[in-house]
Amino acid sequence: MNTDVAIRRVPTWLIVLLVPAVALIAVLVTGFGGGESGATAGSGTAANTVTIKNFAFSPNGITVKAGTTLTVVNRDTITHTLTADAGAFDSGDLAGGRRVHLTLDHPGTYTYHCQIHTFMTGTVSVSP
Amino acid sequence: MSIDHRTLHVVTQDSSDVHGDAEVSSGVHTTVRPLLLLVGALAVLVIAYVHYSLYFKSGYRGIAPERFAGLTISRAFAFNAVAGLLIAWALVVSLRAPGLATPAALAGVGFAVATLGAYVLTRTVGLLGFQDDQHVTEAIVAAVAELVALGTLGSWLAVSRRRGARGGPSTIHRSP
Repeated sequence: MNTDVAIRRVPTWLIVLLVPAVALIAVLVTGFGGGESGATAGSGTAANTVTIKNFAFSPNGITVKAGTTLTVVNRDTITHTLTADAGAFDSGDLAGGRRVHLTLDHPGTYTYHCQIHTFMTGTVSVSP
Repeated sequence: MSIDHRTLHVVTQDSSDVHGDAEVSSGVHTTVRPLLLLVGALAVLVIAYVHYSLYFKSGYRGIAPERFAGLTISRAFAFNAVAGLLIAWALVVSLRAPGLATPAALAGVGFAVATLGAYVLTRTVGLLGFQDDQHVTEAIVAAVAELVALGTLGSWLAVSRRRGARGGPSTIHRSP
């Protein structure tokens, strides 16, 4: 088979529109935007909750009372951690769409980061 | 003026009698070279789609730990998606506009090398402040597509260069 000859038989408009059409179909089929995996993470924000989304902790600073449970929700599709800089607490690997509960017993101000993406940082203040 | 393909075919057959083994491969070239461009275009499109998907769906939209000349890692993902789409389009269109083939193939090779290099940097020393050692499916798909793009478009360029150096085995003779 001579592919050159076969390709010459393909209409020019089809060749010109092939890539844009494939790209458009791929975008439409897989859905534009989005990215939230709500099945396990749930939706909405709650008190004492730190949400990870778009490689950022939100809120970036939070205050909770000692003995309170802090919920960490990962709304990205990849794994993150919420790890205290000084090692006071660590969520461990938190896969996309998952949540974890951390109990903070000791008052103080703790800075934390993601162990995988160290540019992600935040602060939690634990009041007595 | 249209090209008579039957005449072109006969001329190619005749020339193979004259030049021997060198021309045996010309039939293979006419079959394989467009396929190399098509597969290369598909691979580039896959790379672009993975970066589009990571940017819009996986949270890579808001990462800017460092900035260089206005470029952040997030913008690099968006830039990759747009550039890949344009290069894939140029590669496919070059099937009908041969003058576009070499620049498009060079752009495709450069695109694949740059993307693969950027990926290696993010997994080692970091790029624009971003470092990640997770083995996500998208990264593996993109890495394979980058190697395929390199292989196909690199082969296309190598074959074209050989043909050019030889003067081209399938000189087009037009019918009177």
